[in-house]
Amino acid sequence: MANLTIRNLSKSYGAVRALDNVSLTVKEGKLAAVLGPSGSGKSTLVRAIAGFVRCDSGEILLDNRNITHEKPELRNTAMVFQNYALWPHMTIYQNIAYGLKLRKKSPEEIREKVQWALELVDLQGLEDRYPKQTSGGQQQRVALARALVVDPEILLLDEPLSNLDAKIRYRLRFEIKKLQKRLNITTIYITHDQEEALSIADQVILLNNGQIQQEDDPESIYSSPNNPFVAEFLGASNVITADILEDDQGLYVLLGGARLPVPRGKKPHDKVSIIMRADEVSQDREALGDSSFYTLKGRISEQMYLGAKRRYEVATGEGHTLLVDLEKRLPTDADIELYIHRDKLYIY
Amino acid sequence: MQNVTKSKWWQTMILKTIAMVLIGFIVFGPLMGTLLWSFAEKWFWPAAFPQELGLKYWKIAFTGQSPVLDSMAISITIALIVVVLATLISVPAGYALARFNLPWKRILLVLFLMPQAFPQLPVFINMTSIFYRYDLVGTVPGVIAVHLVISLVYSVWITTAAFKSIPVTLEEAARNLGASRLRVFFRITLPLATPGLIASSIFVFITSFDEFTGTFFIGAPFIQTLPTLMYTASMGYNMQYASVIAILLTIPALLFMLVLEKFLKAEYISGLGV
Repeated sequence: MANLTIRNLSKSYGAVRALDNVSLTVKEGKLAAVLGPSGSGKSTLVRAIAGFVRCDSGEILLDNRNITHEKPELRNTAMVFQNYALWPHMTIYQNIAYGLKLRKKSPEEIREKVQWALELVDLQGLEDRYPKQTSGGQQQRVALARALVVDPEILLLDEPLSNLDAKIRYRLRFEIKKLQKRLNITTIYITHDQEEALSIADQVILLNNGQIQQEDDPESIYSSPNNPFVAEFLGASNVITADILEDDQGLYVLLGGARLPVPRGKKPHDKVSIIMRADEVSQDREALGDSSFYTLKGRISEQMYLGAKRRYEVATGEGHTLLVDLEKRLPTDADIELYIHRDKLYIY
Repeated sequence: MQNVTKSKWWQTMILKTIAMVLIGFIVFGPLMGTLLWSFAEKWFWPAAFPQELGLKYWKIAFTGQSPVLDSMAISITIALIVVVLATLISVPAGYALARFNLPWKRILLVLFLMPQAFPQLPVFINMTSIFYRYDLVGTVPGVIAVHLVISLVYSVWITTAAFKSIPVTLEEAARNLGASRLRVFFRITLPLATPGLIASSIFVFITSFDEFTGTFFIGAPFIQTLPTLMYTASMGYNMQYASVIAILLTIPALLFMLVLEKFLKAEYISGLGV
């Protein structure tokens, strides 16, 4: 178990910058989720840590050991691959034992350790099966056991759950989290699923175009996104582009009749992005207490039943369309007044 | 209701039987003719079947001064050596072509294809003139060299495909857990490529065993493999004798088909589908 430090890591494939000056620290025993769309560089990052990608510049440290130019087999990282990469010609037992054999452990120790790992992932009794004879969820656990059995300094999970169906994915997510806490192992968890990242991580690193967009704990990154990309990627349903207006009181934008402030540095006739989550508006003025809020006015143009709530499309006077989630049943074409906390509207 | 299904069952059965008989006839028909010829002691036109059957020509082929056994021994020896050499060349070549981004990759693959891409006779005539310079004409090494040139096409291409079908992540996973490149190759890559290597070896063996044109130009008349011997025999209108050799030539192919099938059923070939 170790602290991971990455300094100014860059990697280009031709004209594409897969990693662009990435720096980050993951403290011992923490789980860092690296989140981003496909092509954001998250896979390159984890493969660079494992040693399969040679970086153009920057360095990678495990505690004080500089592993930037170390061979993959000498790094003592353990990786769980997206397709599990179990060796089809070896049994589950042989798969898990292989890393220990390479470390020249005694036969008794190997047997003990493999047994420990099998119990850890709840796979006792499947030792003699071949990977093909097990289910996807079981293969995933074998891959996890194979990685954990060698006591790696850092565990690398490259989209470990993306090949499983939703139900198993959900359950395994928490199992991985529990295991990680129990073993107190520094972990990098690659995913493109924002919910997975938020629910499992101590620290979320959001990547796009090879650059870190924001790095924070899950609640902070969700409640105060740095920029529209972060907000949108973390599930904001409304991203509205509005024109900046000017009158004798200064610059402003209009949304549902509400006068919103403009971030500094903008000029008249520039555009701003307004970001708002569908479930953060309310019809109940009392519930907001005496905190400051905006009042947005509009007319319901469309609605969709979602079970616990309804999603309404609200057309504002300025010609924008807002998506809002409300529990109450309202008729289409009704005029509606919505309230939202001032700090729940992000304007960039 | 039951009658309908029963008559349907009969219909499909009859159709299937007809199809099987047709396929059997197409596959085994020509072979049957050869088989009959090899046992025919007298077979004059226009009879549909030989007037006299017997083992006379088989006996001739295997006894006394007959060159058949010698030719068979030479054919098998040459084929085995070609298999070994082709494997030794195509395993590293195939691995490199499958895994590394070689700048001259395409040219290399086309180069291996060259001997097959041109009409064979001019190629062999050129080879003969080159081989004369190095005293290889009429020698076993010369024949082996020709067979090798011809079979490397199959060998390299099949081996490349076999290595390509193994996901790189299987190798990376082993390196990640502490195995060196060399160890990964022998413990992970090679075992997983074995079914492909066996298929390639069988192909090479049969190619060499059946090869005629090149052997004729480089080897004849000093090196008599089974195919060149068969040619000599059939030139003398000795149909029976030629048929015996023809059957001997098909035996390895049939045997290897069985071996191949056994390997296709082996546990770990399922891994190739990963």
